Amino acid sequence: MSLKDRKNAFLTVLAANLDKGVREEVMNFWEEKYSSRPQFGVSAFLDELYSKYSIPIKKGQLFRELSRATMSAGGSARAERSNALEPDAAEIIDKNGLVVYQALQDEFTALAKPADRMKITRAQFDGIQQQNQYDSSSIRNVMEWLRGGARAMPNRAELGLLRKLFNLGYVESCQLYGPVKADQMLNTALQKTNNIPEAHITPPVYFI
Amino acid sequence: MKRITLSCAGLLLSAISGSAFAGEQDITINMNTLWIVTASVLVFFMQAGFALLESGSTRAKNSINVMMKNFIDVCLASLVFWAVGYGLMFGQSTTGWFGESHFMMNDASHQDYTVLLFQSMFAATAATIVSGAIAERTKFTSYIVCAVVVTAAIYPIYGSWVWNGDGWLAEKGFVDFAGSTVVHSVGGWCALAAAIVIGPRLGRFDRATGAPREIPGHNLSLVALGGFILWMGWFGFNAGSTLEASENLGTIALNTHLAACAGAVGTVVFCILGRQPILLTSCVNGALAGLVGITAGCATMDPQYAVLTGFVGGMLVIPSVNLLLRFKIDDVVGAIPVHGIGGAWGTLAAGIFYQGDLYNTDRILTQLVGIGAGFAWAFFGSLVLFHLVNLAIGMRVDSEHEQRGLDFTEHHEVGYPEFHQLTQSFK
Repeated sequence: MSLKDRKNAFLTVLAANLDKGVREEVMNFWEEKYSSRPQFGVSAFLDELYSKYSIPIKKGQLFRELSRATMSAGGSARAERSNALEPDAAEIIDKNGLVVYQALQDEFTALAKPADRMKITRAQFDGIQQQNQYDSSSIRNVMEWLRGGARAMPNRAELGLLRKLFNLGYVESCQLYGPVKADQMLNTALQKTNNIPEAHITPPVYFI
Repeated sequence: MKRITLSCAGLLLSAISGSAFAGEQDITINMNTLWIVTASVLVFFMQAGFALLESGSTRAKNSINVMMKNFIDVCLASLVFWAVGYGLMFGQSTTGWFGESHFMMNDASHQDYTVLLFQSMFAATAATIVSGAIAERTKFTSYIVCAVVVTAAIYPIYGSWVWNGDGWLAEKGFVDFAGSTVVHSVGGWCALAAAIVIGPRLGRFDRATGAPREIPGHNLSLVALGGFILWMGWFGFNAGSTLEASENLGTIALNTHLAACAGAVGTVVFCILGRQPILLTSCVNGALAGLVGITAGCATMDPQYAVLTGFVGGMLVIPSVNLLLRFKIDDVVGAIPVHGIGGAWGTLAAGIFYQGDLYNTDRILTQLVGIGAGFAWAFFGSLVLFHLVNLAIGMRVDSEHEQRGLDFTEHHEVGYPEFHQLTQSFK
C-alpha cells in the first residue's frame, strides 16, 4: 500500500469516528509525527495517541478499523472507489494538497482580466464567511490565506471548504464572463495545474 | 322438395355472407390494431428524438444527465399512466372534469390495451417536454418526482376535458385532434413554470445589464438528428390518433409533413427578414413548431392551411425565444416557444381553418377557451407542484454540481471521458 493510500485510509477512519474538535487535534498529531512515515505499527500510533489526547472511542475498535483499512487491499480499493465516487468533504487536505489548490486558484484567477481578479477574490472572501457549516477557525485561516497569499497558507484545510471556496470563484467568473468562458478557464487551469509535481499526489480535480 | 332445397340454399348463403362479414370485421379490427401499434412505436421513438435534441443542446458535462431524464421519464410515465393517468383521462367521467374508472387496467379487451399503449406514449411525450427546458441545473430525483405528478395528474386531467367523451371541452366542440394543447402546450406550460421556479443557469444573464449570454450545445449534429427523428415519429403521433387504419391517414400524414417543412421555412424567412444568422437550432425548432402547430388540426384542415399553420408557427419561434429572454427565463432547448406557444397557435388555427367551416367565430372562441383553460391548469398547477417540490427536496443542484457537471454529480458517469478533465478520478 502506498503512503498516500495509507494516509487516506487513516484519515477516512479517523474522520468517520472522531468528533470535529478532537479530529482537529488528532489530524495535527498525525501530520506532525506520522504523515511522512511509510510504515509504522498501528498499535504504537494508537498508544501514543491515547496517551496524549482524550479520544471518546474505544482503542480496540479504532485499532480494528484502522487495521482493516490499512491491511486490506480490497478495503483500500473500496475506499478508493468510494472516495472516487463520493469524495468525503470532511477529508483533511495537507500542505501538499494546499500547494496544489493554491496553484489551481492562481492559474484560474490569472485567466481573468486584471480588473476582475480582485472581484473574484472578493467574491470568495465574502462568500466563505457565510458558510456556517464549517469551523470558524478554518474559515478564518482560509480568509487570511486569501488576503495574504501563499505565505499565509495554513497547514491543512477541510476539502469541502476548499471546494466551496473555489466554487465561489467559479460562480463569480460565470457572472462576469458567462459559463462558457468560465468552463474554459476552469479546464485551462486544471490542465496547467496538473503539471506541477505535487499534483501527482493530490490532483487538482480534487477541488472541483 | 324444391321449396326445402331453396330454403336450405338461402340459409346457406346467409350463413356464408354472415361469416364473410364477420371475417371482414376481424380483418378491420386487426388492421386497426396493427396500425395503432405501429404508430405507438413511432411515437415511442420520438423519445429518442427528444433525447438526442436535448443532449446535443447542452454542454458535454451534462449530456448524460439529459439522456437519463429522457430515458427514465418514458419508463415512469408509462407505468404511472397505466396506474392512474389513463383512468383519469379516459375513465367514466360523471362530472366532465376527470375520469373515475379504468385505473391499473387489467381484464380489459385487446382494443383497450392497444389504446392504452398508444396513449402512454403521448403521456411520456408531455412529461419529457419539461426536461429540455430545465436542463443543466435540475436535480434528477426532483425531476422524477415532478414527471410522475405531471403524468399522473396534470396531463391526464386536462386530457379528460378534451378527449374523454364526457369532457366539458369536448362537449363544447373543442378541436384538438392529436394534442397541440393536450400534449404539447400542457408540456410547454409545465416547462415554463419549472424554468421560473428553478431559475436560469449560472451566468446565463449578465448581472449588470441582464443581457443573455449564449451557452452553445456541445453537438449540433445530435440536435439535427433529433429533429429528424421527431419529425418521423410525428407521422405516428398525428396519423395514429385516428385510432384506426382509416382512409384519411395519408391526408393527415401529408398535412403533418407540409406543416413541418413550412415551419422550417417560416423560421428561415424570419431570419432573412430580420437580417439574422440562420441557425440550425432555430430551423429545427421551426420545423418542430410547425409539427406542434398542425397536431390539432391535421385531420380537419386542407393542405394549404396546414402549410399556413406551419409557416406561422415557424415564424413565431424566434420572437417567442426573445420574449422569454427579456423576462430572463432560461429555456435550454426552446421547449416553451415550440410546444407552449406553437401548441396554442396550432389549436387556434384548427378552429380558424376548420375544413368546410372556415373562420367560424364561435369555433374560434371555443378554441380560445380551451387554450386558456390549458394554460391556467397546466401552468398554475405545475407552478404549485414545482414550488412544493422545491420546498421539500429542492429542485436545483448546488453551484458546485453545476460547475462540475451533472453527469458526474448526479450519475457518476460521463459522456466523453477521454475529453472531459473535470471528471478524472482523483486517485
